[in-house]
Amino acid sequence: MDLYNEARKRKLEFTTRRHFLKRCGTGLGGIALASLLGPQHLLGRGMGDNAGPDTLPHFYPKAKRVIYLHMAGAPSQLEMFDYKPKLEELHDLDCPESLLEGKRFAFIQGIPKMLGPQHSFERYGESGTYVSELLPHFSNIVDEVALLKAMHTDEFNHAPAQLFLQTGSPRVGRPSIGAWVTYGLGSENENLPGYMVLVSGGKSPSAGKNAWGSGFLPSEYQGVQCRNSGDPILYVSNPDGMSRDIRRKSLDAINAINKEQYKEFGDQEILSRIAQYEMAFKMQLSVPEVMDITKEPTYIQALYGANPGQASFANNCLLARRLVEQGVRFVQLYHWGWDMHGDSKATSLNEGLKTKCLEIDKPMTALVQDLKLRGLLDDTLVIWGGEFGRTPMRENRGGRIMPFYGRDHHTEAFTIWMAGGGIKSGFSYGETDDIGYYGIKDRVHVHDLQATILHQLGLDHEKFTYHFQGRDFRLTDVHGHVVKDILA
Amino acid sequence: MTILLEANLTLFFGRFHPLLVHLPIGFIILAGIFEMISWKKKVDLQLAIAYALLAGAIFGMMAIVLGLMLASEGGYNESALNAHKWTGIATTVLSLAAYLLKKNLHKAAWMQKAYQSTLLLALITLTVAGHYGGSLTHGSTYLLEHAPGPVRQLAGLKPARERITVMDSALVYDDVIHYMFEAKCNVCHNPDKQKGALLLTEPAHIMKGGDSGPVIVPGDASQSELFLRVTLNPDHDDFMPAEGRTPLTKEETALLEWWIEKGAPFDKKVVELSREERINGYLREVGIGEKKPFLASLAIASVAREVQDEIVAEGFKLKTIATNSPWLEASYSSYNPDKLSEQKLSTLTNAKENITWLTLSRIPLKDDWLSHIGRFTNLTKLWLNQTAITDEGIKHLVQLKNLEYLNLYGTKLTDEAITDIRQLSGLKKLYIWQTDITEEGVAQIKESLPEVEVVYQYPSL
Ligand code: HEC
Repeated sequence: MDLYNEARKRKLEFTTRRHFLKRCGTGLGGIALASLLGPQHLLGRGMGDNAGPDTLPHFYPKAKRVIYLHMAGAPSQLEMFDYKPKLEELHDLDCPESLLEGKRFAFIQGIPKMLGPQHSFERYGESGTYVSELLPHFSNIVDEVALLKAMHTDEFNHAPAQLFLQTGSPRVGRPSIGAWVTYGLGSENENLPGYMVLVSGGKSPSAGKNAWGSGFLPSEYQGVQCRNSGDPILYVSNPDGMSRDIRRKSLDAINAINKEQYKEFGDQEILSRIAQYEMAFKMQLSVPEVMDITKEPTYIQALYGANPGQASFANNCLLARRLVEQGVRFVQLYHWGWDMHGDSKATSLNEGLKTKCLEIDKPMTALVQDLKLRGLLDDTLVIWGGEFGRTPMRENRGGRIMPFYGRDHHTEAFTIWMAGGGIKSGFSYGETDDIGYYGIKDRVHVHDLQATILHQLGLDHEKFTYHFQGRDFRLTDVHGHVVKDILA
Repeated sequence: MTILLEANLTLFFGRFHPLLVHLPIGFIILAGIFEMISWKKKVDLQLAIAYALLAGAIFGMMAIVLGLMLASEGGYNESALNAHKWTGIATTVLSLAAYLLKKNLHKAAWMQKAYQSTLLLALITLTVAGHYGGSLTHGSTYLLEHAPGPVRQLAGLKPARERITVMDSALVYDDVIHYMFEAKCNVCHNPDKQKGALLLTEPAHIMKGGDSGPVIVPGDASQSELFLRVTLNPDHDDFMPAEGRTPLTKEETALLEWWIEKGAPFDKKVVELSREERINGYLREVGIGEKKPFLASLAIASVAREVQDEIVAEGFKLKTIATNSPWLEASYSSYNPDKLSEQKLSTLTNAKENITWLTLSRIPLKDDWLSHIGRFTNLTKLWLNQTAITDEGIKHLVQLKNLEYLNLYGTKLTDEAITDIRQLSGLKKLYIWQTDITEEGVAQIKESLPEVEVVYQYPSL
């Protein structure tokens, strides 16, 4: 054993129980006093004290459910929505020093060149909204959506930025927005999870499962991830030889034991576990049916461009509609591969981005149209967007010229769109400067977006808290303003 | 030490005056109360009274010192300040005198009389000083601000102007800008306390400006000191409102900018000034031109717990649509193995006033069951999509005048239903995709209900 560890071990040996009692007398006394004065508050508050489902929503909700289409990797607003003719003029010129001073980028080094829009734009709809040629279908529904063009965030790397968007904090450990919402409002359908996550094949988001985690909320509010092939949810079907009756009986026995345990220890997580078993049992019947998109007529499948049996964003959009139709509270979609740095064809603005847009254009348009026709768009809030935006400068990783056109990560300006759920439609909110570098009017921060989503669901983001480790937590921490301008 | 030198200690301590000043007030009043008790009840409280008076005098002196420090900050109405200062000093002196007299009561007979009147006088000056102090902090009209009209008249105040919140007649200055200044600025910028020598209570004073001259440049917010002050970084020393008071909201700031840009008029109506759509939104936000939604306009009682339980026992889901709201949303799941029946629906009618959202999607409803639903007069949203209802059923719904949202998609309705649908005068959204209602039918609906949005197909489908 080396000297250091030996010394440490010796030191620990001196730390006896007697030592503990002597040194921690005041602390233990304090704990004893706390338990006498208010035992229920000693170990933090349980569910009952928190603003749980009984006291919510705070006010009349405009939206009852959410479909969040997250484009992991961060799509380029400058090629899709935020048209900047001025940038065209500056194309290939050196970026002025003034734009670089005091800035940190993920990859850009030295003096990059400016990069004009790589795709052409046109105005559409009664609102005359600019949309790029990459989104021919979407251009038909611009009058149904609101574009937020001056979004900004604090984080310029994918994982923290995704966490920031989904959980309100760039660090791991906070509940995701879907978990908050299902915790607050519950599910409308007791046969299905309130919060479902659909990832369209390819890569999973860099933030991993934390992006739909339940943090310190009871774990039953965690997002349930659905698979693209085989059982839609792992182990949803009974193993061979296990009938539904036997399953029921074994669950009853397990639940009885768990209840005994709960009586003994009072651990909230045991109740969560019982609830999860029960949910799983009901899901065995409902999930296979709801998740089966072949049940949709072919013209609807065609509308979305769905291909049953394959992993695709299109299938997931169709599935999302089926799920909200059944009362699932929060459906989170992740699409992947939007990180167009220009280091390969697949990550170039000219080719890669085209492919990505092709994958989402038809399905997301169909989703909005389909929800609208069924009268679901009124109370379903659809949100589309990435975790940040992209620079008006061309990426020059390591000071080199990249083989393809690409843009670097950018926190100061990006575009998202929202539809339904009591949001105004057919207009754009917020403006960026002539080159799309900074938002100059009606900027909306990620926390503002979160506050607004909660607001539409009838939740006051300042009052909706959960008590954990001695303090009340909020999705928006101590920030966020509801963007009232975009509310219908 | 440098920290102490840098800070403005006079101001630092001065700010504690409002805190400390309540101690002498309490002690002197206590002395008065004890005196009354011992006079009535014959208990011996003499020593307690003496100490209370002494404590009153000591804390009174401290309050005077702090008060003078606070006053050096400036910006207070001279005469109110003088009155407050001198009555305050008088109270302290009288309290000390009363203490000395009390201690020596037995020495001479005249002292008894002198003591009584000194204490009485101290109590009177205390009240006066307190009143002026209040005026200094809150403005002299504070006390009677919400008094009934006749009381205000007696006090020589203008009868309070009832704020106009109707868009067409509201005045820009009186109902928007003045209202905002009163709420957020005038604790400091009033005749009794003109911080920065600026008064924001009367048009003339507002235009006159303060220490640095005019604060409003009509037509140019970006040149107006007043607008700049409220749009600074809140941490900036010059940010208004000062001292960390509640800042103007984003909406209020935008309205202020709009008013100044439009020439800062004092007599114009809101509707006389041109405004973008977003300004209307901001006005609604501050209470002008707000249309109360139907649900907020009606006050009804909640449904008794037992009645709710009875309904839930029938298999319905029942939930208030928001906390403390009497309004309920009800639904019946198409997955419920226990199928919906007419008898279940009639149980639901026990809450028919309160249910405002009702979802019966995908349920094999019979047409005549809808006669129950026709009695839910406060229904605003109704989902009957993918049900088995026909044109016959719709006849039962014509009384639902508050219905705003009606979802009938995927039903067997035909143009026969049009006459009945046209009677739903409150309707705003109608969903009839996948029904047999024709384009002509849609045109007819729109003719009698021009407000309604009929969703029946997408151009691209
Ligand atoms: C807590 C007290 C307080 C409140 C509330 C307050 N002010 Fe002031 N204000 C001051 C003080 C003190 C000064 C003088 C010091 C200075 O110039 O910063 C001042 C100065 C000003 C001045 C500069 C006057 C001049 O000519 O130099 C303007 C303009 C002003 N305030 C506007 C406002 C407005 C508008 C509001 C309401 C949104 C407001 N104030 C609310 C305390 C306050």
